[in-house]
Amino acid sequence: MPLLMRTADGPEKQVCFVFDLHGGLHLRAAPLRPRSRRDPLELYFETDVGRTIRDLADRSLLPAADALLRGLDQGFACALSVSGTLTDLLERHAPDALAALGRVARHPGSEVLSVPYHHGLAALLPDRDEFLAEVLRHRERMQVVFGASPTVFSPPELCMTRPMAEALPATGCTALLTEPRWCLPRELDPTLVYRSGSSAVLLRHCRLSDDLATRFFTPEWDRYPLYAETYAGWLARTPGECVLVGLDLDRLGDGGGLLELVEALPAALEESGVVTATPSAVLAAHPVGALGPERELGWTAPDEGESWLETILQHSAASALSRASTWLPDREVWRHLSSTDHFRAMAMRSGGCGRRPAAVGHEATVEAFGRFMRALSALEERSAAQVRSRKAALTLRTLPPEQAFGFSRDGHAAGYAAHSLAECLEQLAFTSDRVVADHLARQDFVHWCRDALDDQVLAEKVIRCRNRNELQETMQERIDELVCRRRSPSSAGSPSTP
Amino acid sequence: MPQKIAFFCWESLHAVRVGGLAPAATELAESLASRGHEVHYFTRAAPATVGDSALIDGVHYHFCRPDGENIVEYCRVMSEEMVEAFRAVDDPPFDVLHFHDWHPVEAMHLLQDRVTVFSYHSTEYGRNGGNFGDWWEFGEISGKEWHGGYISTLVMTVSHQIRTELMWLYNVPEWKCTVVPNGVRPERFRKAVDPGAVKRHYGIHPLAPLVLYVGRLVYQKGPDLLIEAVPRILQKRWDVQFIVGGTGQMEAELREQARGLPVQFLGYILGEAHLDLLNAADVVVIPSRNEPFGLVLTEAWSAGRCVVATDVGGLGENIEPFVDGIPVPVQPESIAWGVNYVIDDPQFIRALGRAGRKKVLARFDWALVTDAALEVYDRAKALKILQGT
Repeated sequence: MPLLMRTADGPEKQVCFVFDLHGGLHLRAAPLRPRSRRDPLELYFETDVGRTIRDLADRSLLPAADALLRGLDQGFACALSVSGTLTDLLERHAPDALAALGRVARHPGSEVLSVPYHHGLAALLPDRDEFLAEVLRHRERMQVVFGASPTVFSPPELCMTRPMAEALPATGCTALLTEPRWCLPRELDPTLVYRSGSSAVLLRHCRLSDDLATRFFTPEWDRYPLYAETYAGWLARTPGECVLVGLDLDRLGDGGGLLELVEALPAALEESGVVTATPSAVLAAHPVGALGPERELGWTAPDEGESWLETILQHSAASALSRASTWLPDREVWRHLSSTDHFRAMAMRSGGCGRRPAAVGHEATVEAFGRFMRALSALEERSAAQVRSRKAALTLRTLPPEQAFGFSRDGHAAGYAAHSLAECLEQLAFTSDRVVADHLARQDFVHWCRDALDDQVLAEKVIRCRNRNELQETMQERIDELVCRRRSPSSAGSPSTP
Repeated sequence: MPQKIAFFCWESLHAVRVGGLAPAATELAESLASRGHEVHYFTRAAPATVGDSALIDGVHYHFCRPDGENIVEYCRVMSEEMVEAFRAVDDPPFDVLHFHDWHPVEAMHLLQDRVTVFSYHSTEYGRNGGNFGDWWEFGEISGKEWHGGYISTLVMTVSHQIRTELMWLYNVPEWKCTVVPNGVRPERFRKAVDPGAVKRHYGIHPLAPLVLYVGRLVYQKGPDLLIEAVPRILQKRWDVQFIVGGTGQMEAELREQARGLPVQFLGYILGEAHLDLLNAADVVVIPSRNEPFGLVLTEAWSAGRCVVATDVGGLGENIEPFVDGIPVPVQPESIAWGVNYVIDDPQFIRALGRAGRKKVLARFDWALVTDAALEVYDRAKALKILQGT
């Protein structure tokens, strides 16, 4: 680890480079039929990913690891954030790449960061136990593959929430990295060290990160082409205590010269007098106890206008995932479904702040959503046999988009659909009186309960509903009744929300 | 030194409100009064207005109740009643007489020996979407607009675009015409709301992107262009919802045009409902064919909203492309392009809104606008003295 040079005013500014690496399993277009001795994951995910992982290793990971190792030997410092899922895939399909990353991780100039094992949305759901389990499982995995015990937490998509921050000390982590957009007060200086309770907080410098992750590849950029010397100069001229630059590690394999820039950075940084350090080294120079109350920050909440789940599709899928978590006897497939990759694919634009930018059409987001909901629906359907009332679990389960209740107005889609009884109830709370009345008049709810949910009892009750309130009361009563019936022995103590 | 200032305007926030002229004139009057000037505001009474005068927020209002068989006759009677009310309080005499738009031009004609400033908030040509009309009212109103520019001591207008329009349309000399933008009180349009709750109230999914139009439903404002753009926007993203707030002569045809589309017409939205929607909308669209200034732009910016607006008049002049808004040509395809450019990028939407709010605070504060208006008054007084000698 490089020695810190101290000035009369305090520790010298340090620059942290963080390289993220995550890749989960891809969902099948439609789940497979279960057969004996088939790996459960195989039913839902493309498991024949050897060629893809090999390509990732050859194109990005091996050259990147080589470049980082050479830099580390020259005094460069950096941090790695690698999901547990990806280390599993690398171990199986590209062990040489995992070994190369291991050499980087074990170098004294580098630090391994903590992330939830599956890089999952579970971190954003209100399930503290699941969050802790994911972080601790990742810690164990890092110990096995990299010999590291991370103490700095990097949340998936850098999205930090208040419940996560409160649970963090129980994971053994003493610090965290995030983006300014999740913090209060707004418009914080990202080059200062902050604290949240007993945890230290470092903020990613989004502009300098996007210079590498996005603008570097844009010929229309007025600073294109960017060279290591120029970038090092920008870092040198950025005032503050710490500049945190983050980048997806596999971006180095995208060509265009980014790998060469990273290779040239250590010398350019030295030339510009820039000191690099690991997050822990920065925090050692700025201990939490020495930070004044003006450095205390809070976390934004979804109702304050910031949420990682920004679209109807993402919200619908996340709600369904959260509901399923309350009763599924086996969480392993569920955890893979929680990977943020699936949710990122449900937004037309993603990336930013150092992450790979992506833009897709809405057809692609609908396809990603459809794959997810079909997988979750099939998982719940197959798990129904393991609970006390299979029938109750089937009625309460998530439905695939083909069977969802599509609200409509004047014969045109209203833009949202109910993929479960619970979601129907949520949407009845705001859909307009006219829409509800039209659907009641056509007995659409009755047909849906009977044909899609296969619940004749509910259908016969709904047929008597004359307005929204009666419909809501009838559905809520039925949900409460079915939730009681569904309780499996293993989830007897779990919350009864559907 | 405190001045005695007379405002002549056919609408105000405290009686009859028609469009953007009411807040522009009322708030300037209030701002001048807050500086210690004695401001008298001659305007029409609303049906519910009690009495002939009132002191509201430091401004003396004098109400008239004109009648007439047509708009031109109505405004002539209104002007005469305004002058009568003016003469009753012209002792000590007013220092400056400020006339707003063509409606009180006949009052200016009767008082043309005084120091007069004529504000063009729009022109009849502009209200007609940048077209000449061959009906008699068009000729009459245009004639009054020309006459107002001709007899006034100085002219004020709200954007460089309309100043140029006045120079070629009515031969107003360049030296005579000063650009003074409209101000805004940002605090009046900013409200902490839960956007999801507001959307739910209108039967919209809390995460559906909401595009808002607020304005009169008239040809000049281009609401038909937005409705024509809707299918193109839905082609890119199917869950976008639209709310149209305002009334006007095009309402029936717009409702027909929007049949089957996710567009709700709410009529004239006021007060808290307006604030809720303005602060919950993801994008505010201003599809005007002609917009001398565009108060709705500064209102949307005050609420920190992302704006997609046609590149005309004050809208084009004030929006910095892709920094605080998306200016587009006046055609449905371009409006759809502008909305599509931002609609799937919530972070960019928020960044544009934040930049707009910063601009409002830095450039459209009433204190700055009032300073500029007072400078014009001082020049007008000096010029009148020179003309007298």
